[in-house]
Amino acid sequence: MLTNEQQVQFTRLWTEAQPVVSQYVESLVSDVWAARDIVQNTSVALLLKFEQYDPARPFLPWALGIAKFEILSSRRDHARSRIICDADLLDQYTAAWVEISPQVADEALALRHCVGKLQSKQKELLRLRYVENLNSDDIAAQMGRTATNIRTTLHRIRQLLRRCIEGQLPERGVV
Amino acid sequence: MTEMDNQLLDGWLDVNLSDHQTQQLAEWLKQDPANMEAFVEANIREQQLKDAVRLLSQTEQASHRVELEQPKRQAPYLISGAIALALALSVLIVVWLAVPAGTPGVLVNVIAMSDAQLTGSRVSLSVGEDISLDAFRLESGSLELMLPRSVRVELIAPVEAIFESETRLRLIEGRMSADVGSGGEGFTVVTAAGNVVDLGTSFGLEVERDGESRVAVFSGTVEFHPSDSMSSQDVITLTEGEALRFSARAGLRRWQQVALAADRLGLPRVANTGVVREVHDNLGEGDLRPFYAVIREGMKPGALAFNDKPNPVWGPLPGEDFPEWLTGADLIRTYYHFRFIKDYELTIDLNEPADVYLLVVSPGQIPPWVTERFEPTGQSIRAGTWHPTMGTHLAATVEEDGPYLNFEIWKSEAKAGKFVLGAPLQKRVAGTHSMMYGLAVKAKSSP
Repeated sequence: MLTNEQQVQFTRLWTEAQPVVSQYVESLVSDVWAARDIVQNTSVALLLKFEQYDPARPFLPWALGIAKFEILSSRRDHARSRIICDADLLDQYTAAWVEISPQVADEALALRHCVGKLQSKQKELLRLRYVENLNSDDIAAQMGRTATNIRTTLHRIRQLLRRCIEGQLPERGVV
Repeated sequence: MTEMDNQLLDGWLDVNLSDHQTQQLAEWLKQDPANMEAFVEANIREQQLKDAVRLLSQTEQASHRVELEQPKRQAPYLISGAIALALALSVLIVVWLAVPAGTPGVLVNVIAMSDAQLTGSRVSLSVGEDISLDAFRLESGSLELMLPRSVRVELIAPVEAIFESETRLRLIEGRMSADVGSGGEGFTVVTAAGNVVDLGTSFGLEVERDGESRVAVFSGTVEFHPSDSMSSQDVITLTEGEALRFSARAGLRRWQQVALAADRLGLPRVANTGVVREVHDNLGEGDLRPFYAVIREGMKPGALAFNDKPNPVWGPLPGEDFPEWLTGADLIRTYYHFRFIKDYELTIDLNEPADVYLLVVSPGQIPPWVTERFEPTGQSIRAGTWHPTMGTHLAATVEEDGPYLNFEIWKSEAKAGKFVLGAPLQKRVAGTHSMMYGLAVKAKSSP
């Protein structure tokens, strides 16, 4: 049973880590609802195991480690199998996520501004992709274009957003 | 990366790889750790983009919905009918509040209170006591309650509300904030404009009788479910630092400032006329935007330093006292994540002449606008604890519980009116970690 102090500590740590954990899970589990379930199960598992958590160590790697096991124990057909099923690859993926995620976290706000500046057609394409969760084949059928054309356009939008973000952020040094 | 690598990566992001291509991707990832790093970075950026697009879409939908809800001309008999209905409802509510309800109510524990006077419920208030509440009106003062399932609620008079269940509070009018611990997720505040559903976080809410609601998320995430009268039932998700003002008439607007109760910091409540009238930045208008917490007389050891960081709090340097002249100043909590925005401007609107205290990480680069308009006081305080990776910062002192960062205090004497601050850093400097400044304001007239 957690003390009140531990409960407060857990809430603080989980509140900070949850967006990163959600992104990590969604990157590996394409079904949005399955991903949400996994994140929810992860939070419960973390809470139940919180007494074992060593406060001297960072919380995020621990949380991602638990999320990794939750993904593995979820229905495999939700996950992108070859990456998920290769234990070494999944470990490397998780470790790289822990390392890189804080480095690019600052870009989220700039990205929002940049997305807001896109042309209406570009925004609509992104909406179909990320809000409606359609892939290039489905979008192509809906817009009367080829899937290759949609993939190329999405690639260009991503590059455009990269340039926009770099323009918004000051020169990078060691952060 | 080769063209083939790019195709594999785009195919992965598009969730559109064949088995053979997925195998190729796995082989490519195993070839070189740099490939895995590039792959993970692309995935993180993809998730950030997904979040940004979803948020933009929700905002646009909400704005569109509000535009559709413009007041319509009513036929005279409809207006008369509405008035009659409103009067009848008012009478019913008054009767309902005056007569004790037959339901047992929700058992809550009084954690703290200040001059609290409750009507509509035949209970006497006492700190530490369990009381049963259903419909009630807080006429004056403030009341802090612990609800079942680790939900802590603070109500600031005047408040009219009904506990519909352990996890559901109907707020008819008034201001409240809620801290929802684990197990309390799903706690819902029902308002005329919609329902605020907490997903394990803390938030503030203000409801006016005309149906307008304002909700600000201090940490975590809440969902706003528009009421049935709205044309669309799409849920709006608000995350840490965002605020939403929602009503059919006023539209969706940014809520720039939330005056938090000083009671939370153990300070006496102050009159509702602070030195800081308003705080806003230049990050745009018209959609969901961050708010700035202004805590009156809140600058003291233990005060939370940034809106978007749950841990670092202000405190004295080891072996020193917290500067007496800074204690009790109005604390404006800035956003740590805004430290990289090149053209960032923060405007404080002051009701009267004041000393503006800027807390700048030291050692570190001092932006020109600071040296031009501020004077160093020669004193410093610190904020901590930070994530262990912050221990390498030039301004860091690492202690058993984690790193603390040193902040120099700069001062500017400002007149009443607008006072504009700039971006914390012009450039990222090699060897340093960019850091947002802290801010406090003290009226010249204060003792």
